[in-house]
Amino acid sequence: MSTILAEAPKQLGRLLEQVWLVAVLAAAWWFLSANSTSVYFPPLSKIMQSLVSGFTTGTMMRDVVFSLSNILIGIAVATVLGVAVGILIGELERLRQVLDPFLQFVRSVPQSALIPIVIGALGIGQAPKIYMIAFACFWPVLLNTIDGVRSIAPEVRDMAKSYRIPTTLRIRRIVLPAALPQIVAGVRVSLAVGVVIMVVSEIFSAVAGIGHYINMAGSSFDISGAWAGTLLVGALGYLLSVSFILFEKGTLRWYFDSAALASHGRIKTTRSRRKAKK
Amino acid sequence: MAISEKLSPPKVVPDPKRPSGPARRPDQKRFAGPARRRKIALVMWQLATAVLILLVWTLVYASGYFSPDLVPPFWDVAVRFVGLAVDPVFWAALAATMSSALVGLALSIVVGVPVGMFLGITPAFYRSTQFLIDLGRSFPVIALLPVMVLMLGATREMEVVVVFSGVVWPILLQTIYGARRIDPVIADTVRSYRIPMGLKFFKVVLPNAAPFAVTGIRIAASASILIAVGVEVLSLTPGMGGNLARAQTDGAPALALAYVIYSGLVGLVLNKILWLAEGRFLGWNRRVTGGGQ
Amino acid sequence: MTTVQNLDRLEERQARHTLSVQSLSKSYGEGADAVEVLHELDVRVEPNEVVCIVGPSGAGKTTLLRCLAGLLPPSSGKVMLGDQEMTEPLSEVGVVFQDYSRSLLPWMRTKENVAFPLQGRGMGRSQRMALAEQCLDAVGLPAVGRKYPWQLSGGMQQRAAIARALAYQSEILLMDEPFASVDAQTRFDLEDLVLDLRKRLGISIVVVTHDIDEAVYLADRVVVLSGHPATVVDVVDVPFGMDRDQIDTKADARFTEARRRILNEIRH
Repeated sequence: MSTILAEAPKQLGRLLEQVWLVAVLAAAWWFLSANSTSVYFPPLSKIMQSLVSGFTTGTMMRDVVFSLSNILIGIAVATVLGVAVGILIGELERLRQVLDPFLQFVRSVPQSALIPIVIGALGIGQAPKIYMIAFACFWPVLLNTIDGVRSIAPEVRDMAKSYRIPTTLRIRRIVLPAALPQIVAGVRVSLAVGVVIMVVSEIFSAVAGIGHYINMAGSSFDISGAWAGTLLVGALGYLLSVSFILFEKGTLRWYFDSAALASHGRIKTTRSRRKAKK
Repeated sequence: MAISEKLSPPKVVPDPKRPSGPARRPDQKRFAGPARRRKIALVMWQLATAVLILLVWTLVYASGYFSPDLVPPFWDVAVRFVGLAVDPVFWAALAATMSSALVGLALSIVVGVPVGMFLGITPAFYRSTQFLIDLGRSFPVIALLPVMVLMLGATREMEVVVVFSGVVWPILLQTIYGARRIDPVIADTVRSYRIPMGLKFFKVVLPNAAPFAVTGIRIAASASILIAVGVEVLSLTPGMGGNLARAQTDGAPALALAYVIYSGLVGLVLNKILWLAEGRFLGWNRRVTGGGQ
Repeated sequence: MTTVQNLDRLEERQARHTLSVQSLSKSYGEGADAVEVLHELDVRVEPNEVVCIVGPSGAGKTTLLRCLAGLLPPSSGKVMLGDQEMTEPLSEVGVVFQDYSRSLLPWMRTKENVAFPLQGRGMGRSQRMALAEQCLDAVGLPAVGRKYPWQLSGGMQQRAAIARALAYQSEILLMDEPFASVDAQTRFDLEDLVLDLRKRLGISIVVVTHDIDEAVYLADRVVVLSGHPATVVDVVDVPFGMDRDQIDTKADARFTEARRRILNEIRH
């Protein structure tokens, strides 16, 4: 109890240290823009008003749901397919060698370059956007899964072989968990890719979605509306990545804990030693 | 612990054998057998795979299941592909895209590395800016595009600004991480020999952060092309992406696909070059992390 | 004592087969590039025997062990288990790998790690967990089953790896430099554990090591490998029987003699 009380001011200090700059910047924006008459930089208060009215009277809610469901479905499809194909290719070294140049090439194609083609051909509805997101997110997951499967230590492979672990059990209990840190890293990358593709595909042409909202606001010179949508996308991107990192910490506890024990155990002790000196 | 500290994902450690090489037993590498014959067989298999892909492509085209807007016959694409190589319009577009991407990249190096070093060696500033950096990193810059187009128009400058605001983050993050992450043994050594601040910065902190910064730059470089093309596609700014989008809306999907293939090749070549440059520049780092048993 | 009673089932297992290699050679690579590592080796491991394989680094000790485990096909010659030729890993043979921190899976708790090979055989969960528990007891780790392997010390991890080989119900244990990366005191404890398991369970054990003291202390017979390609230059019988002691055995004149003889052979 007493330690919690003693810790409280320190925690508060830490928190203040992290938020003061953000608060100052936000306040600066608010006050400096308050009397702005510039077309391009409307007062922050007006942007906030657009945001609120977008949700209460406008289509904003529907747009957020549209965008979010696209990206979540797209990434789910990409992850399932990417992991399955990635394990297959990672386990079959010959196959991987043959496919390597093709994979490297597809990885290098700017995914946004495909958007005009896919939307031009499949139309502006929801399904083409999900395909696009799934297609773009598939590659980071696939390549990371392959890398993860291949970097399994030879000792582990020997162990599985000498204890005659059957293939399905081996995939489920050795290959998948061993590659999981890399797979999750791939999904994290594809999350960023997915948000970009989501926005781009909606800006390019859509009937709903946040990107659509921004684009409509921009082309009708509703600048504060465009800013509001842009801020909303930023917040959404941030929330998605934060929630994914929380999920990552949850599923990969063994990985972070064992790595921390292996390498950062030292760093922690040096730190505490330094503190003790003071 | 601070919440954002808990939330930051593990940083990319420069990997000496990318794409993270297979864990191999040294004895297998040394006795690689008649490498030439195996190599030829591999190339044959790859050619067969390419033929198979073209075959499937043709079958899909012939089946008529997809509209020819999505899947034009590959020979049309091949004709366009060859045609582009001798077309000055294409080279102008390539130059435009490359120059916006590289200018944006150069700006983000100029800003990202010094700022990253500064934040890396001053923990208080680092903690204060952490939230902002996390926000900036996860912000899909392409969403800025409509606002940017309104402010700057569909111009080269606009494209550079968007590229910059997209690729500065990996450089910044990697540099901060590299400057902060000093081996505790080295840190103790520096302390016990009482190395002065300035010397420590130039001889220890900077070289230590360099490989991380370079990895950040490599990531940023491939991202810069992606963002540049994306910006052009959306705003029809002249360049590979703009030409591509226009070709598609003009009903020339084969031309658009030829552009897609070129943009993939550009990304591939750039990646190879950067990878080699990184190896040449930071050979010592690879030796340390990769060679030792 | 409860530990001993728990071992009832383990003790039924008694080594019955002789593990042997007959004029085994192993080369890496093909054609002109081929490098021969092992040349015409003959080694026998009788039931309930401890055999140590020593040799300088790079003499192909690990290659020989991988052949014995059925992980690596020999280029010529045979690996025999009893009358049967071994072409793949068999359940009679359990392997304890050098790098225990890698061969124990970090995402499974220690007990699950020990029980994992049994799952591959289709044994039910409660049964394999009970057996894993027994085997952890047998190696002196009664209370750590719920921990993750990376939460254990190096010596404890190596004990867990031994427990896994025991749980697999193999009658022959192959160990590759098993104690190379633990401190001296732990090393002595683990050596005594090996001797104890041999005595109590009647299993055969093959230990690959570069440490001559360790080889002589553990072995009934020491197989000395040397040269390029490696051949068996000597087989030294060590006459100490089942009961040995870190201090008395190592002070024995016969111990010193065996050690001198092996050292000389490896140097030349």
